[in-house]
Amino acid sequence: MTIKRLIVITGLLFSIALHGGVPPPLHAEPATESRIKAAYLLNFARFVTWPDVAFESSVSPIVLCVLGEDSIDSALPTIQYKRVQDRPLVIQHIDTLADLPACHMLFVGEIKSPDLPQVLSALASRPILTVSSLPDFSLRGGMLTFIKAENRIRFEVNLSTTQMAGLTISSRLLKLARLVP
Amino acid sequence: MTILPPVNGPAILAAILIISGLCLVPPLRAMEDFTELSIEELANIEVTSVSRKPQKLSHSATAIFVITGDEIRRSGVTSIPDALRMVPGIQVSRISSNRWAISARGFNSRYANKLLVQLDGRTLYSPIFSGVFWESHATLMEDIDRIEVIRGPGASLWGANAVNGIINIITKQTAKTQGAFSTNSIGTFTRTNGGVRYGAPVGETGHYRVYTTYSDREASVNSSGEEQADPWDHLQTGFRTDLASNPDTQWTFQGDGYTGHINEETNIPSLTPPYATLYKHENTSRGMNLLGRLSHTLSPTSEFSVQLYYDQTMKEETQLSSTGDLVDLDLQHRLQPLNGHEVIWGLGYRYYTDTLNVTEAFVFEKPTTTDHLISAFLQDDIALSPTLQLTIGTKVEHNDYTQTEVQPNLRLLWKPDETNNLWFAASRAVRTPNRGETQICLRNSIIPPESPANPTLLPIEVLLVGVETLESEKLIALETGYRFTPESPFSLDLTLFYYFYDDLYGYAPSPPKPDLDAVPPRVILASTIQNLMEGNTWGLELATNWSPRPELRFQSAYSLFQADLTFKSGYADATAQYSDNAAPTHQLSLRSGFDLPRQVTLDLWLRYVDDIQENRVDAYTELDARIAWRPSKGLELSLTGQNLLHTSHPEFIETLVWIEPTEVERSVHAQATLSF
Repeated sequence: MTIKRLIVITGLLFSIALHGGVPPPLHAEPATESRIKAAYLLNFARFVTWPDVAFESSVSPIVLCVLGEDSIDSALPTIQYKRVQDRPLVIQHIDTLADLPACHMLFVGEIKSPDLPQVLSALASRPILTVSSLPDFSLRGGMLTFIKAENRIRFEVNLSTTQMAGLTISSRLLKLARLVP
Repeated sequence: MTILPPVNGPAILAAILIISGLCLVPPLRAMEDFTELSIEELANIEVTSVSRKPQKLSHSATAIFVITGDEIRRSGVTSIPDALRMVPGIQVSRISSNRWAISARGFNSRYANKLLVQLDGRTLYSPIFSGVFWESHATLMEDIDRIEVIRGPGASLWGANAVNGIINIITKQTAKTQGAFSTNSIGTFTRTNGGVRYGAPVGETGHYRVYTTYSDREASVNSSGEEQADPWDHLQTGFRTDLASNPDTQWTFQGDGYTGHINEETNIPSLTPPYATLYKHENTSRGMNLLGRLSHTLSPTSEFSVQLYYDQTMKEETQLSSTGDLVDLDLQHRLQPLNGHEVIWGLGYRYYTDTLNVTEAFVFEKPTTTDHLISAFLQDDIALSPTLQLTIGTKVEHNDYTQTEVQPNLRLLWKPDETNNLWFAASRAVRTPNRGETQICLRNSIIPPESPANPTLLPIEVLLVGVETLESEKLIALETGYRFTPESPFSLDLTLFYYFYDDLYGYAPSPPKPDLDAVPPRVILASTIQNLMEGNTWGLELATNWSPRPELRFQSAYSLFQADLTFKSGYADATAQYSDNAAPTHQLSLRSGFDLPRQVTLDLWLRYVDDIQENRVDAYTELDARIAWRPSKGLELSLTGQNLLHTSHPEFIETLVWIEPTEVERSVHAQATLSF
């Protein structure tokens, strides 16, 4: 094997690798963890049943509201407008609690004002599925909390708050959840 | 100390090419779409293995390297030995189609004996010679979750034999292998290789899987390109069950059974003209094992596990067949008795019995033996300050050959921030003598009469004879390492080591002794195995990982190794068991992975291995390439080329017993994998 032949072969293999490309998206890729969580949100929408009154019509979208800052933001475009339960999933960023009535799901990020107790009391028993990565979110009155267990992203569920809000969660989802009293 | 020869041109050129190739690479896009996964699949994605930066790694004061299951798949390798070629500080050489020499930090041979190899907690090395018969150990490659390789002594936790390194092959949790899976490949060297697996839940409490894997491999060639008589096959089936009767208690039960046919053709020394007989045989290798493990969490800071396994092997080799039974019980407890202390202690007991069928050329003093090994260890991780961690520990072991052995270590880890860490370790480890070294009487060679080396009229029988009073080989190891793991997609791991060995084995000759009563009459030239060598080894290992974009990966591993082994005073006329040059001085592996559009992936792997065995095996550069396509979820088609740069090349020549030198050929295989 001459050095020359080695270069030729290596060069050839690399040119195969190089010319297979397509024009790239320029934004940075979201972290794996955020993409997994976003995919979970889509699945939550799939396995939760809202009361009929929560939707204006049979074709109205499921509205996922996002309040506060969270790294999940960068991954949300991957689930925007996906169809679940025959409805499109629509993502809305909200700043005030006045926007709550339009939401079916609420993802709570890092928030200062309003603070978490204010948000939770404003939700009262509205049929809005609340999700967060904040520690002990379910214990403090939220519904679903992302947790990391054995190097995987899992979630906790507070069943009493979901029942009070009139939401039904599929047993398939509950099987994977850690229940919080 | 010898002057280091420069690294060969091709390796450097290839490295430059890979790096310059990078600048031209347009950013590509083909990320895994998690939104297409089921919720159960989402729940099983491991976060750290995807980001390739497991937290634990940066917390250990050891030289550790992890091969992930994904890297195994993308490299296209079809055997565990080939996967180990990715690891810095590990020397992998194929001797023939069905035999390997694998070791860490030097001392390489088919009978390399300073490495501990485990599969799911079960020790794979043969107690007869303390090494691994790699051709008898396999599992479905797709079931491997990761291979953790620790270089350096791990004896304080793992025990004797973990002198130069530990290889832990860990298979996937059964929850990750649910549903049906099948794979098959056909190729020029690996004629066929594959397997099937099925996994399902066990009620509400856990999961199981059953699998079967098989392989059928072609013969190797000699230096003239002639086919040798060493094709072989392996068939293995097994199961694993993971149960969690409650969140704090986990049970694992697993077992395997295998059978293999390993062909061998070699010249055995003989006392009658022409002083060699051709040995041609299809050797059978069979075995089965059963393992149970219970892990129980007593409190958030206290956890214990108990493991029990039974392992049975039956192996035929040139002139030697053996059957062995081994029972191993292991108990470990981890706790935090005081703030800032994490203590692990454990107890172990091993029972081993075997029966050997010996021949005239390969005699053991006792055809059958029973050995007991009792061990205990204690290790304390002490947080001296938020950035400084001290680990002290020791293992005490009692064996039937050298009685009690103490193997302490001390490790210091300085972690000034999340990105940098620096560690230092000093350890003592021993390699206890084994059944072979204490009892063997091996006919190493016959020197024919009236030949240049033997002008007498009688043949000279050269014997290697084991000695009961043999002591352990001893090592004092100093190691230091630096790891740089920033948030950015680059990471680096550097290790330096300096080893002091004492009481290494070698062969001390006795004066020639005519034996005229024997039939046929002969002159016996016996050499006894004794603790007659000492010396130093040192080296450097560097691993880097660079993923500028999620769809691009570049991984490099470089090893520098030097040995200087000498005879102790009074043994000037002895023969060395270990050669300074059994492992390459320079070794380099460059891997690159590209995720192309339309679910196509391309992987290239370039390896450079320096010359070894006093130039009897030349340096070589080799390239593996794999291209794969996933037309739909659950289906993958791939084409792999291995050792593409040469028609054939040698990797190792075994000298201790009779194995004909062979070469590794260029090969290609195509694989299809289906899961649903």
